Amino acid sequence: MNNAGFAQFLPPLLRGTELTLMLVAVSGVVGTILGLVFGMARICPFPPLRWVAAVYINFLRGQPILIILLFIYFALPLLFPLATFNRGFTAIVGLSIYAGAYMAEIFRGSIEAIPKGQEEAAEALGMGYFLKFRHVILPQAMKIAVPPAIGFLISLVKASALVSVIGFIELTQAGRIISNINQEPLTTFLVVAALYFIVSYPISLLGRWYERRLA
Amino acid sequence: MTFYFGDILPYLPVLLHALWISVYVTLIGFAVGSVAGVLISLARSSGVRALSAPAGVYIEIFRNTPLLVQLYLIYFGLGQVGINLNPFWSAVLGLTLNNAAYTAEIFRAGFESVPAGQREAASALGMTPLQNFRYVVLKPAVRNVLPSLTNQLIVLFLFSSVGSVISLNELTSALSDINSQTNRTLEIFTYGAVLYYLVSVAMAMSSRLAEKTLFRW
Amino acid sequence: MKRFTSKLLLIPMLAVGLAAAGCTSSAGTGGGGGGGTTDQSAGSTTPATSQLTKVEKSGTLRVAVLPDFPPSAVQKPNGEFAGYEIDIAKDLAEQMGVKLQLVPTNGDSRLPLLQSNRVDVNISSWTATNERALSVGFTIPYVAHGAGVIYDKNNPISSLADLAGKKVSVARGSTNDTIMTTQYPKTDVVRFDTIADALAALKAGKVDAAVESYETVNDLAKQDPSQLAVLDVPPISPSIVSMGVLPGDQVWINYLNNYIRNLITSGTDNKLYEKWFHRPLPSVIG
Repeated sequence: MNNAGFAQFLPPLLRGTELTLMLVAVSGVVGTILGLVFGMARICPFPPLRWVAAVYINFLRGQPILIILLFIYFALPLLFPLATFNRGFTAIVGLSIYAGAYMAEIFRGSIEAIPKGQEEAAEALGMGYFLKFRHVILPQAMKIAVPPAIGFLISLVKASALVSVIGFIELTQAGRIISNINQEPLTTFLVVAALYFIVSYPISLLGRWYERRLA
Repeated sequence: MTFYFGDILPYLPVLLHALWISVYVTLIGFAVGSVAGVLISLARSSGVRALSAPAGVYIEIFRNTPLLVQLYLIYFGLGQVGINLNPFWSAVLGLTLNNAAYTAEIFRAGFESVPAGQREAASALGMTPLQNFRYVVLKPAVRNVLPSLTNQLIVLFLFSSVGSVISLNELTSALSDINSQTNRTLEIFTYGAVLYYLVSVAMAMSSRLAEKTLFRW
Repeated sequence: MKRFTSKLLLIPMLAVGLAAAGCTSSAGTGGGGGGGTTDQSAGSTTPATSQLTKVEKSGTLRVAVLPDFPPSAVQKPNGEFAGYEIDIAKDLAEQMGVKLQLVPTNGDSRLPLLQSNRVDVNISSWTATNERALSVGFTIPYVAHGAGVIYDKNNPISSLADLAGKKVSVARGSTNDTIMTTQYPKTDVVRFDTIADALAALKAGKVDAAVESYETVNDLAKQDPSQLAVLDVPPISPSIVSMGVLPGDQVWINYLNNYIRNLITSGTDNKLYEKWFHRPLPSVIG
């Protein structure tokens, strides 16, 4: 094994890591917003909104991210020519709606975990629906949502590896191209795995630190 | 553009067979991985450093690296050093190792949910340690974490689709094959999405059933 | 994290209903009438709706190329491409006076990339078979190739008949996939998404042999003569390679045909081929 020569492949792998971070950051933020919207819609007093949210959440949580990405990239433009996104944007859209479904469940669970009495107290004070959510429910639910949300963020880092199937050159795809050139899948993918670990482990540590602080 | 969902019907047996392979690797990976997960979680909370440290490292490594990269390492990487696993066993190994890391954390939470007094009471009643573990710790613990285990099973099933990149003939791979033969992209991926969804729902429902029947006492 | 709710069984009902409706007739959707390029039912194109006009208007030519098929085309770790077909794509963009955008594809994404309007043309070693020509608009050929068999020396084979019962890797949806599936049905065909993975499987000892283009397998065997060898038979199913566009876009096909005729007669095609393959362009083209 010619490990001395591997240094030349580090810059593209680091560039891939950067793009993986970018994908996770953007789709994590968009997914959280989607999750908040759909999570609240899932338990709102207006039935049609609840149904729409339930269809979105339950259907997407039953789909592999691979199928979601392939569908958006190849099938969606056949239905809606305007929805023809390039690889990077497809990756972000796919990961975001995937994250949105899981985050919605996390938010819903957190909101439902708030004791009913809190809600009743807020209503007794004359707060309306939005005021009640804004000042009483959400601040408490957010705290409960943080640990599972961080857990999901780690899953999102790993799910982002599948973006390589549509040819977007993030960390895994950079590894595939390099192992095709140097014929060293073992070394190449060990380095790729190490880079994922470097990205993902600090997030795990952050989650654990937060849980300890809460306890 | 017109879509013909009927054109794909002749391929349904192929798709269902591929779906069965997806389910099959998932079930093996889940069963073996969950047993390993129990052992790893016991090692993790054993208080013996020689056991808990490696268990912790194992869990962190598999929770923090993507399955796709693990499968590449198992299939192509190990092949490079002479350890030859076919796509099926590579996928089973990858899913098992992954599932062990995830279920270890789930079981740890489950064991912690069983009050210590319950165990003490059982041993006071003269149960052997194994009986005690099986009936007084494991069963209630599994029951408490059944929803998390079910989620894990469904996630594992959905991630079995990654096996397609190492030529495992599971559902996603069959969808791609049929797509290249018929060029009916939208119809084929719609069928795929429905099949994945139906199996996920079936898994969730059988878990509910298990909760109502197996874990009643 | 609550359990996976199965309350909404209406979703599968709805989805199955959709599929079932499609069985009897067709779940037709308009998809917005404006999308002339993706509308395959349009029998012919006028200059106004042709991809040619669209390329000229947008100022960018989008070409699907293979990322893992040296020396025809290969993607480097920095994302750039190089190879014989890349040079042709560059020349085509230059002749049209537009910018070039290269999009990586694999065997089974070539047509979906056209249908989803991600590329204007495939220069992706696409063999123009009669079967494919039913759903793809092919130009005249610019190069030709045939398939070769490469095997692991630890598990040698001496004839094509020896492939029966052996594990043979191919890239999914490639001509080689079709050849093995239809002409050698006794072979255990192992399909990968990419050419790179199909060849990596051979090198990792996962399969007994791989079928790829004659040039590719010969180059690969040269790189690793201790482990790999090429079966000593003439190229299997020699075939012509064309550029591929959406069917029915005759205006665009005419333009590309004319371009290829000039490419060949000017000697540029041969020059580029020799630069990358170190031998003259196959005589069936020149």
